Amino acid sequence: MILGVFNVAATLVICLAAGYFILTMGAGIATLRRHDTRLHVQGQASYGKPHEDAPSELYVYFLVPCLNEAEVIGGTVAGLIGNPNATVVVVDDGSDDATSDVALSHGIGEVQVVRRNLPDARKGKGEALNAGLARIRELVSYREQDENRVIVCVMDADGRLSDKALSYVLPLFDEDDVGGVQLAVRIRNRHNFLTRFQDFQFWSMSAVTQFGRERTGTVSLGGNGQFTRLVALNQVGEKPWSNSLTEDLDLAVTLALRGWRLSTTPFASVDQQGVDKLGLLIKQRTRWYQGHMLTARRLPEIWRSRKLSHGSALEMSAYIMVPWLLDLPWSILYQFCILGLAANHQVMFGFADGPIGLVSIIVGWYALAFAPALATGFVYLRRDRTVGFFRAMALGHSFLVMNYVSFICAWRSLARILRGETSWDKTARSREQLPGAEAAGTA
Amino acid sequence: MSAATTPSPSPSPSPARRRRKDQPGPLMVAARRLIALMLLVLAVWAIVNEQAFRAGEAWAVSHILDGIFGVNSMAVAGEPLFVFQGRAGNELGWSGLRITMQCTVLLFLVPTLFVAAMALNGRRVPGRRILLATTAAVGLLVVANLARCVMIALAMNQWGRAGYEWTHVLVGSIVMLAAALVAVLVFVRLGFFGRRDRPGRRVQPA
Repeated sequence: MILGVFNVAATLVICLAAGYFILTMGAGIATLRRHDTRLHVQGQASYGKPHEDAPSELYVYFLVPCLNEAEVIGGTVAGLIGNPNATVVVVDDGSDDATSDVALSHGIGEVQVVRRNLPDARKGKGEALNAGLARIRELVSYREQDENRVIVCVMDADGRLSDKALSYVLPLFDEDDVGGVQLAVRIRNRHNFLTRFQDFQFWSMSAVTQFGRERTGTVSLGGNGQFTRLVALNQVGEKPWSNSLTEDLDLAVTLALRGWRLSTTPFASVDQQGVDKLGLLIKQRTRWYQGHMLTARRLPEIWRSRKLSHGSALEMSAYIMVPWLLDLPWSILYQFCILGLAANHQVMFGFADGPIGLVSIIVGWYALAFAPALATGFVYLRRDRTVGFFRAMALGHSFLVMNYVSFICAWRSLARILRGETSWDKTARSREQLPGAEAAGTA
Repeated sequence: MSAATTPSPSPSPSPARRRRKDQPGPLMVAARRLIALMLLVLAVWAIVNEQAFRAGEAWAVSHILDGIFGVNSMAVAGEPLFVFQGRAGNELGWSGLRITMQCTVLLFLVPTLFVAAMALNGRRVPGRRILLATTAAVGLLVVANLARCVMIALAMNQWGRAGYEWTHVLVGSIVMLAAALVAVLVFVRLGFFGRRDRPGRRVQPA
């Protein structure tokens, strides 16, 4: 009986995961076809000139929250200035380094710096974003701009938009019910396995499923390359970003509940630094998991909302419940499956009556067990043509090991939730030299 | 975007329509809760009487073998066991298969009924859609598992012990995994994505 329950639980988790994966990936590929493009779109994109061909009907305010980002903020600012309709607002959330000075020196006249000092600073990214938004509201009012025509774009301090990004993003806001647009994320420093794996996750799985979520209008907002209407933010309140550890996901839920559609485009993307140390990656992901898991508190609101279609409510709920329904149970069932394989290998393979039979059995079990690895590896291969077949497949199969990173993070998050711990340090950046920073630095 | 246009989120249904379509009356709420309770009771009943349920599956498989495939077959009364004849006239060539707890579809049905009960209790999705989705998913799972059992029996007749191993261990696992996956997709499609949920309001390509 217990064995049967474990079997069925494993089958259900696999089916739920596969069902969600197939639906969102399938919808994502269908979305790409609807846009007359394919998986490889943006695979060879270059970054740092987002304003080319940008329409002039909308005003864009880039909001960049920073805490000790002197290493990278120069390049980011340099990549965001250069458009008379755009303003960069850097929020220095009590940095110990020269973040403010570097930001100002790279965008003289086009950058506004909001300095927050302790004890009011370092109260979380949401608070920093709200402080920056207050400055944007002042600027919009002072400049007598129509707030209906103002778009706020949240950027990470290490983020760069793809070339011509605004020419693809801003027209999406022609649809009056589009409240937010999130761009696909590329990892810039994909030079080692860890950062390459993050790129594989973002560029292969996350990006394509996000394209699919465009169909239900429930694209999840992230903290980098996140565009929102000012009027939508104003509708949420004075401080639209909450103190959640994933304030971006929280905002996405809030906007969707108010009837705003959340969209994306395959023709623009944003790049950022990947975390290059395993310890830092676990720390970062634990924070994401914790915020994500706590968003489950909003499920009753989602299911009561009359502004969400049934499909949108289901999709958003499924996304929010992934750590609870898939990651945590699978962390146990996965071990059960491996033990089962070890204990029952005679039953599973022993009935082969010759070499052809044995090969057939091995191929059968392999196709069954590694279908996700093959699918995601293939998608990554198509998404980035510079990645070779064997590397793409190796990344797909690396889930055998990298699953454990997810398991550790999910369980650490659960422990933190149970202990009531909510404080976090931000993820540290690596020093890097970007072309934009060089140019701006010598100007 | 036209400057004269004021962006606004998707409108919610008018109050009158909302009352009529989205807010079931107290009688309807009571009916939904009653049906949800009945589904839960059905799930619990099936678990408590799992042996009878499995015996029913064995009976169904034996009838399919006999009626459709012309294989002499019979179920053992009250037992989750059916026997079938290898070749007609060969009185010594009878084999039997027991439907164990790992082979029954029951453990797939229980979570399906539980989710359906939750959805009915949630009142968001029309009850008829949930019931239709549940019926389709349950039907699909039951048919798939019966088909798997029939396949195992036929493979045993055809290839002996090797046929049993192949179909029971490998092919059977693939069949049930695929069936459960399709059942999830069917449940979601019928239950949650009706005509109003189709992506008709999508953004035009840039």
